[in-house]
Amino acid sequence: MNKTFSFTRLGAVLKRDIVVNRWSYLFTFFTFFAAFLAFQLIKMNDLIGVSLRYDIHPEQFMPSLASGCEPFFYGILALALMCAASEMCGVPLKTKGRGLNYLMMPASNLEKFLSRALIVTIVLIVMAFAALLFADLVRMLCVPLFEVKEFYGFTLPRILGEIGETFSSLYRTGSEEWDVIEGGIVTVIGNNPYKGCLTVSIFAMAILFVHSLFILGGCFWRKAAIVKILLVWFMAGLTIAWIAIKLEPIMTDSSRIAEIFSFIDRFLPDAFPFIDIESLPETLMLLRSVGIVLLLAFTILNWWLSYRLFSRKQVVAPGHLFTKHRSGHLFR
Amino acid sequence: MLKISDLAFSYSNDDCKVFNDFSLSIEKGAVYGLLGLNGTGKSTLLYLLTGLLRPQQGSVLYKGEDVKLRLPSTLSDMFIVPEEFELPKMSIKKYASLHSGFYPNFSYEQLTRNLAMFGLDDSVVFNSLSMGQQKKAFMCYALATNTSLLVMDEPTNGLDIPSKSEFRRLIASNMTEEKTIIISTHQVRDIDSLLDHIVIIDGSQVLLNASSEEICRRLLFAEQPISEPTDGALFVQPSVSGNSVILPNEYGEESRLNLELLFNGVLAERERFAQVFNRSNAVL
Repeated sequence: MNKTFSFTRLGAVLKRDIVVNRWSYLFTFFTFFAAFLAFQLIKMNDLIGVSLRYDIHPEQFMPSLASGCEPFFYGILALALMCAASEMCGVPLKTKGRGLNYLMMPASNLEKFLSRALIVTIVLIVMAFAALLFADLVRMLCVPLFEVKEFYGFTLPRILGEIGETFSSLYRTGSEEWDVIEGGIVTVIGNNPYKGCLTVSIFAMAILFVHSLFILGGCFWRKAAIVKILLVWFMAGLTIAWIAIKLEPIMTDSSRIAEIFSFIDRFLPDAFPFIDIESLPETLMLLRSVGIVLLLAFTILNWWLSYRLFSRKQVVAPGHLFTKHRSGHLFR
Repeated sequence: MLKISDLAFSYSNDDCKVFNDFSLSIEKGAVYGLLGLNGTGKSTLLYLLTGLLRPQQGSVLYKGEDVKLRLPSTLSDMFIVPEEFELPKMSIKKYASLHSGFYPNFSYEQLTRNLAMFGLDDSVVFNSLSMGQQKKAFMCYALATNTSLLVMDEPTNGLDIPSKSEFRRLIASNMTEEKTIIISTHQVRDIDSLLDHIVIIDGSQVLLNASSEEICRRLLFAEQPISEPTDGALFVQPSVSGNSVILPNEYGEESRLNLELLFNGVLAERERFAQVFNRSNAVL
């Protein structure tokens, strides 16, 4: 018997997980569905109001169903997906009885972890998109209630298109080479595809990094993981805001800014002699690459820590991470 | 088969350890009775044996593998029926088809036969059954997995009187020389005829670890009228008919093991019982 990994066992674990926890997953699915449907109906109602007022057929508004609130919509969608991911990490260990069945299941920790990872990434995204499609269908069934003759079209392809467009515009903006010409006017002087790729990669890596933090939180906290993770984010936000407030007088004082830049001018060549000020754009590109590598490293670290925590789960929740003799300690 | 060495475990970081420097060996082909007072760590020990808890020190080796690693080879060869459990909303048949693949020796015929002993069939949904019925169904499934080690925590709790004798029959009919069953219970009268080996623990101390045969060879269990002297008895407990006594079995007489009396005696007269068994090298 393979002690660490077998695809057959992984498939069996995945199947068992989905069948046994189907009610939890259905609940998540219907939560997404209800949220999407409510959003669409409210938005549709608004648009119909506008169309009646200006005597425009609502079909014309269809392409902009989420207009005016895309960043909000996508932000909330991403946050909801990440929260659901962290919550779903602990579904099989929610209660002592469930945890006991799951931990005693004859599969390796790696297989169990991979099955959870697949569920909180691929299965969850498919579930959210299916909920969106389902919400679309229900919305279309509701169309006659709003006395609209034609109001059809799926939101999902548009969202996917817009996500693609976001990355494409990031690439376009990121690949542009800028220069300041006389009079302080900034102008595009060229195009560097490599720079564009780096911009897109750093954005994608940042999303994956944040997602991995949610997964880590979901593996660390057994109960109310979402609340605790959001609390940590809130505290982090408050800390950043506090630092920003403290820095604000410095940043708005032009003489102090000049002082800082002058310090940097003196400090950089001494500390980093390999940086050539003349080739600063290349250096910045290098720094961007370093940023991507760092984000990737931290993302992998978060997943590794999540695995360590997961493989040391016990049927009875142990004490705090930092207690002296914590059973199932992260580094034991 | 199962070797616990220098085990230390506590639920929190305080000094109140459930186990400290605890060692025990379990051999194959026997039904072990694990006895102890409330809060002495019986359930904790069962969780440690199956890798559901991780010791802070020491090790639990099952066929040479550390159980805390929860390897598939180890997990597919052991099964635990806890005192309280949670089963998914599905029929026994569906549950078996979903999980049986994990257990190489699982026998569907055995499951059907076991269920029939309790008057159940595999089409019933777990959640439609009472807690006692669910326990019976789960035990039938556990025995059908044919794992070498089966651990049961208070298996007769919640079973009605006829089911308790069915339970004994079920265990006896599923027992083989390759299997080991560890039963932790307070309901000693329900299972005393089943047990091949008795382990009495009190925290980190193993007060008694001997086979039933050895116990009956060393000790004599008797009921005496109140008027009869109890001199030389290792333990005396008043009973309805007079006194229940445990005596050293000096003449090799036969008597039926009275587990409840033995348990009370071992707890009350630790030193005396330890001396009896140390003399015969049967314990500790």
